[in-house]
Amino acid sequence: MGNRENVVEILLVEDTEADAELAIRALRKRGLANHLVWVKDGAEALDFLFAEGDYADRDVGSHPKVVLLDLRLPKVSGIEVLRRIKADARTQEIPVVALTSSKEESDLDECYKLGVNSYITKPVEFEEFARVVGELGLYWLLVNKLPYA
Amino acid sequence: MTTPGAVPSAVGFVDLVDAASLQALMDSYQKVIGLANAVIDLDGVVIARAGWQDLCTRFHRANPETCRRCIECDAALAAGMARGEQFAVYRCRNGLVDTASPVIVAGRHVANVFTGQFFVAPPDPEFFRRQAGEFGFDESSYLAAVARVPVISEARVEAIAAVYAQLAQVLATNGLDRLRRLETERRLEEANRGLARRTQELEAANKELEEFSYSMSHDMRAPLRALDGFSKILLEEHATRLDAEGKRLLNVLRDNALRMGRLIDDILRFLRLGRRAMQCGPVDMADLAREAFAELQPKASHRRLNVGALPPAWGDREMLRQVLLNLLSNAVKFSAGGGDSAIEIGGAARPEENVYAVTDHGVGFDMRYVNKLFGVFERVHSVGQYEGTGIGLAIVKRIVERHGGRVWAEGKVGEGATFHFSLPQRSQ
Repeated sequence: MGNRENVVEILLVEDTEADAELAIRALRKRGLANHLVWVKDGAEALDFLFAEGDYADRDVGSHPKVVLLDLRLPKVSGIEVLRRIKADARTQEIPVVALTSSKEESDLDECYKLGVNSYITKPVEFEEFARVVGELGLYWLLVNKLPYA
Repeated sequence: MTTPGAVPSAVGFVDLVDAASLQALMDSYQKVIGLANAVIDLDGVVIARAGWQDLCTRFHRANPETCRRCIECDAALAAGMARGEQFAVYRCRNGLVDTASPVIVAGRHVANVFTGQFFVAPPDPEFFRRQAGEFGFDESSYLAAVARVPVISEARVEAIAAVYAQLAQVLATNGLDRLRRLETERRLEEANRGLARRTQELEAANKELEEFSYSMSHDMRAPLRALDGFSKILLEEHATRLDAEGKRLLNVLRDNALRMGRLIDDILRFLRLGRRAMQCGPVDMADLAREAFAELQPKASHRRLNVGALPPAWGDREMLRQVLLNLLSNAVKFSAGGGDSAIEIGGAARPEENVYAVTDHGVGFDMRYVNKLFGVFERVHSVGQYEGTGIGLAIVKRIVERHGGRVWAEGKVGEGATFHFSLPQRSQ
């Protein structure tokens, strides 16, 4: 995964490789993908965030500036990952942006109840997708001031 | 076979009366008049009995031979009742008298009331002495039991039996009412259970549909995003290695991916329509028509909308706006290039429903295909001819039907089309 010494700025949790690649390209175009870690399921995301398993040597206090979280994930669902992040004092300050194809309202409600910071429905059009991903990356990395930044 | 309110044939007298109350009444009455009685249903089940004579219980029904005579006697009386006799007196073969009256409930013979174990004339001591010898009864206690048997007149016997019969009938009739009420409640409960089960099934089916739409939205949009995204990347980053035809083909691919994305969005929109709670209120349809038409600009700038007298509707404003938007949008689309003809919307209030109609003077359609118009993704024109996915009229139909109304259409090729929909009056 690399970048273990450096601060990870974006944790991308996305099981669909094509979506991950498109998102990374969109972020790279804006110069935002230098400190990005991509994990493919909810369990790995939790290991990373809580410095467990393969990520046991990480400092749990070293937070990414934003987690881009797909909601439908193998092993542990995105909703569950969100719940764990927001329920733990060590991680609850990390901004989480839910990324999903679904426009179902129940997901949205559930995410907001759990304290998601933003919610993005991935559009089919690539240009729109690239714009949305790029903008939310910019916002969370450059604009948003975090309590621990 | 069963008429409403009739006694179900499986129901016996025992189901109709409260046996304990009947027994208490028979006991009291027996104490007043001093005669033995019994209420026995047609299967021989004793529902209530009182004051039976020692002569019968300790002697006649205790000895197998005399008991057989008792049973023969009971059977003969019951047979008389079954033949429809109103009242029968039977001189029992053991020397006593019994009577029987039928209990008839709702026209059906359900039981008999017996009274008996008495004499209508003073007993002949010689007959009983002989009988004691014949069956080995202890003579003195047997004759003492005979002496305790009351002697009453036949006229009084008949009157007493009639009282018993009426009493039993009253009890049974009350019981029948109770039974009918219970039966009604049982049916109601069954119907309610059936309804609850059906509701549950429908909710489950609905949930399944929601889950399906969820997966479809997620799983089908992702590959389309990849198709669109990677062909765009190909166009941008590898443009130098593609000739004009290659670029055109890639664009065809992207257009189709986007089109499929729109189809998926449309079907999800359609599915959501069925679930959304309706918020009904009065709706000014003329206002709504003008509002919807304004929303179609600038595509409809070359068209004029003539708004007739539209009766106000009762319904979900947002949903009805969608109906008008889709109908007007179709009217604009299918009258493109048809001169400067106007689009018309009119209406009429009828006693039970309001009817609205959108008319254009465009390409029209062949009435042979009228049934396909309102289906999901059904198109009367080919895909390349007019834009749109073919969901618009299906949405119109779904919304109107959720309001309790109907949709229908008329058209003629080259002359235009009229789409009608009705909405029930509020009181309906």
